[in-house]
Amino acid sequence: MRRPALGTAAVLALLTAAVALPFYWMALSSTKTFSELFALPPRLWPRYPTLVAYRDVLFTQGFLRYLANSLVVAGTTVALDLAIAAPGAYALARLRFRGRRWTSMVLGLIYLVPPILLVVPLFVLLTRLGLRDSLAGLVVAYLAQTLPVSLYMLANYFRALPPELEEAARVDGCSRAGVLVRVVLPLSAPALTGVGVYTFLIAWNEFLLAYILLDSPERFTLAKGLYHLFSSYHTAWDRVMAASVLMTAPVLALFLVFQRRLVAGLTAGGVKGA
Amino acid sequence: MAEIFLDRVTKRFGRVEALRELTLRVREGELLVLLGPSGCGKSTALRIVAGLEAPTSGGVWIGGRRVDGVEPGDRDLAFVFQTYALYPHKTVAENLAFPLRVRKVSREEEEARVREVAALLGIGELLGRRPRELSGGQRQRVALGRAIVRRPRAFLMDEPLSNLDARLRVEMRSEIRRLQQRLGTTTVYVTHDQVEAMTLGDRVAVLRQGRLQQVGTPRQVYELPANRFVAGFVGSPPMNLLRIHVERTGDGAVLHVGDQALPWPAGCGVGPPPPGPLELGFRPHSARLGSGPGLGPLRARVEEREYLGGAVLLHLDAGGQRITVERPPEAREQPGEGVLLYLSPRELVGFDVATGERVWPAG
Repeated sequence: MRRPALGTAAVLALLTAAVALPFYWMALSSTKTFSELFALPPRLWPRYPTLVAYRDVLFTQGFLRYLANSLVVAGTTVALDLAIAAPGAYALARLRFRGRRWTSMVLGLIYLVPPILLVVPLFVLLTRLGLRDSLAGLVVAYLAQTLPVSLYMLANYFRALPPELEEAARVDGCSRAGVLVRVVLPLSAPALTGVGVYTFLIAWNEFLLAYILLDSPERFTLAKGLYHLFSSYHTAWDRVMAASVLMTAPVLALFLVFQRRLVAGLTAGGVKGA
Repeated sequence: MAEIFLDRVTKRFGRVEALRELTLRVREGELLVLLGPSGCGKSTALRIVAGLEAPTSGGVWIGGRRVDGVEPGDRDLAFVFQTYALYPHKTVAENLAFPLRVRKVSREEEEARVREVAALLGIGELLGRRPRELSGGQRQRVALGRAIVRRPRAFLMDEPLSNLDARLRVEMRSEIRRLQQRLGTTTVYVTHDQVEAMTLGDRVAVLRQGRLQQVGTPRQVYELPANRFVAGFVGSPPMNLLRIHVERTGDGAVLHVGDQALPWPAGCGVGPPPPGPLELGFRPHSARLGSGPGLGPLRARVEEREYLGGAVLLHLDAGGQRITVERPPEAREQPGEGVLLYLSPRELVGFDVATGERVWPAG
């Protein structure tokens, strides 16, 4: 990378600070004692750093459990989403079947519906299925939200792959499923990563459905648990900050790990076949 | 080895008719070239044989069995793509092994065959590399290798040399020829390059706008083209076509070219063309300048002269009609000069002016 001009560098530094500062403040606040939290002038470094907030949040307030639940829900959602969307997107992209165009269109239309409109119908449906107040019900609800996007993104990516590769595989003896597994998926790592991360984000951060569907505290996800930290009439801000850090850290880690693949996934579409 | 038979295959894409009633038989062990300009349907025909497309009507037989509805992988064919279609995430060795791996061939057998094919094509040192590290010619060899490794009963090649530079093309051309003769595998080869067709094919099938124009050996197609289109497409420079009017006179004939009257040479061993209007075809190299024997003298004026190194091309004007004549490199004729042409009766063909079909010699 060329060294940016001074003006550009200054602007970039400013933007970076603007984005990073809230995160830093959040992490910082989670380690401050109560009295320090609202002290004036505000300190950029705790005088008496402490992990009391974390201990309380994890072991007394139940966030260890909530963390586990969120991981289970998000992980399961990603796994099921990819397992369903990959073959589904391949069918949309490459196979000819009756109602294909109609299906594509309907999937696109789902996007137009604001999620909040779906909450009541989903609640009723899941209750009837006996899935209310269950993590499984949440996974079902999240899949309903993420599958259209995943199908759309993956179908577009698959369409952009050179068809000769798949044809070569078919002539070489692969079944359609074999072509998908042996040729298409290995070449779709960027797109799959993008879809996976995106789905994880949705499942991890989702609040509305978690709030409405979950009743028992042992099934709370982080989002719902975090909300309840506010419900008390005296908000323990250091606890809130600690919980927020717990909720943000895994996502940050995820991005750091998959960052390169993600960028490739966003800009890809022109895979040169040979 | 197998025979391939296309029976009145028609293919329509929406309203566009890519193939019309194509009936063609590829004999066991022969290399048949499907030749034609872009859009003539040759690639479509090949893909239908492979099973990558289904015909709108008509049937395909391979090895005596009808293969409609049979998956490409079950037809025991190998396809070589114009863009090679090598699996980018696999090494050369894995690419070569893939058709065997899919069929669950034993590991030793697989390794043995990969080595054999690599040696045959001279790509042994490339086995560990990925396609993106290879040159065009190397990739082409790997693509061929992948086709050979399975020992299929037929090869289908779709313009495999089009993406290579001219010199490499010539080299690979003879290599493919040698390979096919050595393996004796039935091969259908698609190209728009008539030089490739002439040098590679045991027989050539010329297509135009989805219809078969002619099938024959390169010689037949060159010397006795079935119609005007084949005459113009095969051979470079293309065949000359002269509008003439044939008048029979007792035992002989007079050929009127514009205001010139050329007597049909008696005793030349070839009967004159039928009376009436005709398009006379002759190749640029079958014309003699200055003196006979032959049909002539045809007066013409040199318009342009092209020096090719091994020959000189003269573009002439004969009474308003354009013809091209090939002369040895020492030829001296310059633009503006008048020349006298003599045509060899044995090498003449005649086409119907309206339909373009060859009517003389008949058959």
